[in-house]
This record gives sequence, structure tokens and C-alpha cells, in this order.
Amino acid sequence: MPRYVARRIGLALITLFLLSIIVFVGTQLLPGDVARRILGPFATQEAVDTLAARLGTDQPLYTQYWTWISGAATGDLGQSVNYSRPVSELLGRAIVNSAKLGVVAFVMVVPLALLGGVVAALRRGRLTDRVITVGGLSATVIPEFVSGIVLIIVFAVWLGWFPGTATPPEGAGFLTQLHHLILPAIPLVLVLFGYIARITRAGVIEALDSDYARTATLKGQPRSRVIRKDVLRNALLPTIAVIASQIGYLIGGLVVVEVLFNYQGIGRLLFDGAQNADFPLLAGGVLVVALAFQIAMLLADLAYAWLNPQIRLGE
Amino acid sequence: MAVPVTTKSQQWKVLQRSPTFWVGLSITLMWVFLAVFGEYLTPYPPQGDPLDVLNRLQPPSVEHWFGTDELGRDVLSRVIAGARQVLTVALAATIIGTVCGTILGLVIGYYGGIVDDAISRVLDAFLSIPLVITAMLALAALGPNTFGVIVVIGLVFTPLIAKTVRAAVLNERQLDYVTAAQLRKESSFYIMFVEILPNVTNVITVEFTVRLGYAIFTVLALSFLGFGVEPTLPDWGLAISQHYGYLTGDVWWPVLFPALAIASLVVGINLLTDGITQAYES
Repeated sequence: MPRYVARRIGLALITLFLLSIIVFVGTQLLPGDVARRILGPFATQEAVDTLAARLGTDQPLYTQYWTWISGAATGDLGQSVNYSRPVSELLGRAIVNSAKLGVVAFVMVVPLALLGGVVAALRRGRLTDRVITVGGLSATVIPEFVSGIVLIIVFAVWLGWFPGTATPPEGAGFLTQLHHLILPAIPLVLVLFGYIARITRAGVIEALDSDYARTATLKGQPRSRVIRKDVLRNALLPTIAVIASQIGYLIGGLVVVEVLFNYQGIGRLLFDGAQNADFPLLAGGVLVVALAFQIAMLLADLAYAWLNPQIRLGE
Repeated sequence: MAVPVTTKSQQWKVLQRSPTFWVGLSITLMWVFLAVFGEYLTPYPPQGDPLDVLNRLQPPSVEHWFGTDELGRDVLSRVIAGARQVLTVALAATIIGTVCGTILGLVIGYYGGIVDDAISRVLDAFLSIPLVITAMLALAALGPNTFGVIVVIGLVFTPLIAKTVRAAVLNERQLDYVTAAQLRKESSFYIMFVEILPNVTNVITVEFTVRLGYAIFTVLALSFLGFGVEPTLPDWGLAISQHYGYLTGDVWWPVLFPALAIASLVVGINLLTDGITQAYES
């Protein structure tokens, strides 16, 4: 196990290093003259040079990369061009908001999808299974802004049960905040449901077909006990580790949902950054998002390894 | 469990008995038909006429089945015209992604070792940024145009397809026919593209159809966010983002109909994909 953990952390660090180069290239090199892109074609060359000096884009590339990445390591991601505020401060607030939305979505989807996957597996090949599998897959491919729009039309405009925006009034209590977040969370739930339910279904089917489940059945154990004690316990724990890997999708989905429901989260911030050519904000935001994804993947892999004796005990 | 399917005709028999395949195929063909012949079917010109503004935001009626939008243009005509926009962009992007991903996957899967390790790490790094964000970042840097969207989505899909092809190639590489070709002193290029490629086409076909669905998803998400589309194009994602502000005034038609068009197209392609995947895997 310690060797596996060390190897896995090493891989994550290499990936992060490569990723920082990709982000650097994407936000500092691809746009060409960053200062010119920000100020537009009509700015004077003098103004462009001044901004370039302030952004540091007049320095050689390796100096720029080093300044950026060593700053990032100490939590200094530079200044946002558009908001004239530290990028880390903007990101911090946005991440808290996105985390709230993400938690609401996960709290809704995990029990639902586990239940759906288990039911589909137990009724394998029958109508219930097909409805859950095909319905889940179809929900997965509908873009979040499409399901979001339909939800807004039906539940916010026609029925008036939920607000059409995710941003609660200043100083709102927990329940008001929750009330604002339920509708925006549903598009994320719909996309995640199909994926998690499919993984759960596959895990339960594998466990049902396993030798230990057959042995328990042949020993005369009642089916409900076999399912509870042998099948679910073995099938669900790894599934939960797999769910953590969905955080990458979740952050991508947040961009669209936060724009649609006008919510100041990380997705909305990256969207604003891309629209306003705010490259310091984009660079910092993408780096943080990718870091979060790598940490989630690392934890998912470690949890999976810990639950899987073959890896835990070192083969 | 079903008997393993090996031949094309047996796979076709499984497909023929799959209701999801037929439903998916009909929906997809309907949209393909509208994409090809739409210009002869739209009741009004999709780009409208400056005088249409006098008729803006009319609810659905006998003259305008789906109502009119903020510039008075016929929503039904724009929904029909939007099919060609999204299908061409998504198809072109998927083809680019599949071609690049297949070549890359063949190379890293066949050579293995340090080539595989190095390139796979870079692909993993790319994949730890959510696709929509990578595409948004690239389009912010490159500036918006339809060709840019096609290339960016194609390149964003390349690592995903490359990883799938690589896994399939790793399996094939251990088989006798590859060893035999190596002993005959065939070139690596010949072995990869003439010997191995025909044996991994199933994997590539499934990957292509799955990615086509996701390409539509991504193209529309980007156009909804306003990346890579000109503001006058009859694009479904764009139509939704231009009109959802009117929802509070109970103007739902310019938003709901494009949304339903998107939902039916992606679900149709997904059912089709599911049918094909089942036929290959059953």
C-alpha cells in the first residue's frame, strides 16, 4: 500500500506539472500579445507596453512561467485584469459558492442513482431495467442548459414553486439558500444519474454473478440476505469511490448551469474570464479546477485501493 | 447471456431486434433529412426580414406554429435551419477527433514503453481540465469562428479517443498476426495501419458514435455560452441564450422549441449509439 500511494502521488504531481505548462501555454502564448488582446486594437502602443510591463509579459517565457508557478505555489495567482482584484480572492469566494451547489447536487444524485442502479441490476433484462438504463443514458446526454431551461419554464415561470435564479438575497438563511439551489442542481443530477446508475448496475451484476454470492445462495441463505450482506456490500463501496471521479464533469457542467441561473461560482467566473480575455484570472481558475480534479481522482483511487484487498496488501 | 456475436450479419440481426436502435435511427434520420433539405421546407426564410421586427415575440399561431422571436423571425424556420448548423459542426469535429485520436492511439499503443508513458501523461494532464473549459479557453485565445469551434472540439476529443484506441491496440499487439508481420519485417507503419487498424474498427465505430453525441452536447453548450458563433446564425444554443431573458415575461416559445429540438436530437443519437454498442458487445 505505501508503495502504491507513493507511486500514485508521484503520477499526480507529474500530471500537474504538465498541466501547469499546458495552462501557461494556453493563456500566455496562444493569445499572442496578451496586453494587446486585453486593450484591443485601438489602444496606443505606449499603453500596451505599460500593461505588458505590469503583467510581466515583456519578460522571457521561462521567467514568466517561473514567476507564475512560484506565485501559485504560495497562493498568489496575480491580479485579475477585469476586476482589479487578486485572482485568489475572487476564486476563493466563487469556490465556496460552487461547492454549495455541487454538494446539493451530490446529496440528491448519489442515493437516487445507487437505488436506480441496484434496482436495475436486480431486475436485469426486464422492463424496469431497460427504463432505468435507457432513461438514465438519455438524461446523461441532454445538455444542462436544455434541461435547466425546461425546469425554469415549468417550475419557475409556470408553477412558481422555485426562483429562476440561484443567487439568494443578501444574508439569506440556510433554507432560503437551499430553495434557490435545488432547481440549478437538477440538471447536474440528470447528467450524473445515468453514469452513476450504470456503474452501480454493473458492480451489482458482477457481485450477483460472483462465486461468493452463488456459494451463499447454495448454502440456503435467503435472497434478500445474500443481496444485503454479500452483494451490496461488495458492489457499492467501490462505486462510491468511482463517484468521486465525477467531480471533473461536475466543474464543467457548473459553467453552463451557473451562467443560466446567474450564480457567482467558479464556472461563472471562468466564463467571465474567457469573455473578457482576463488571462490571469483564466490561468489561475483553470489551474485550481484541474488541481481539484487531480485531488478528487487521487482520493478516489486511494479509496478504491484501500477497499480492494488485492491492491491494499500489495498483490 | 446472449451467444457471442462474431459476424456482421449476426450483429445486424441483433440490431434489427433492438427497439432503441430503430427509435434512435428514426429520430436521427429525421434531423439529418431536415439538415439536408431544410431550406426547401422552412415556411419563412430563417434569416427573416428587417420588417419582421413589427411582429416580434408573437405566441404560436396558425401562421407561426412555434411563434416568432425577438426580431420577429419565425421560430419554426430557425429550428429547422439550426439542424444543419449543429450537425455539420459536430460531425466535422468528431471526424477530426476520431482521425487524430486513432493515429495517436495506434502509435502509442503499438510502440508502448517510454513513448506511451510520456504521451499518456500529457493526455491525462489535458483530460484533467473539463472539456467545456478547455474549449472555452482555446476559443477565448483564438477568437470566435465556426472553423475554430470544429478544430477545437476535434482536438479536445483527440485524447479521449486516443486512450480508447490505445487500450484496444495493446490487446491486439500481443496476438500472433502482429508477431508474424514483425517477423516478415513489415514496417511499423504497415503493421499499425494495415494489420492492426482493421481489427480495431469496432472500437473506433462505437467511439465515433459516442463522441458524436458528446460533440453535439459540447457544440451547443459553447454556442449557448456565446463562444464561436456569429450572433445571426440560426443556432439552437444561441437562440436559447438570446431569449431566456424573456422567460420572466412568460415568453417561452423562442426558448422551449429549440430546447426540445436539442433534447430530441441528442436522445435520438444516444439511442442509436446504445443499439450499436449492444450489437457489438452482445
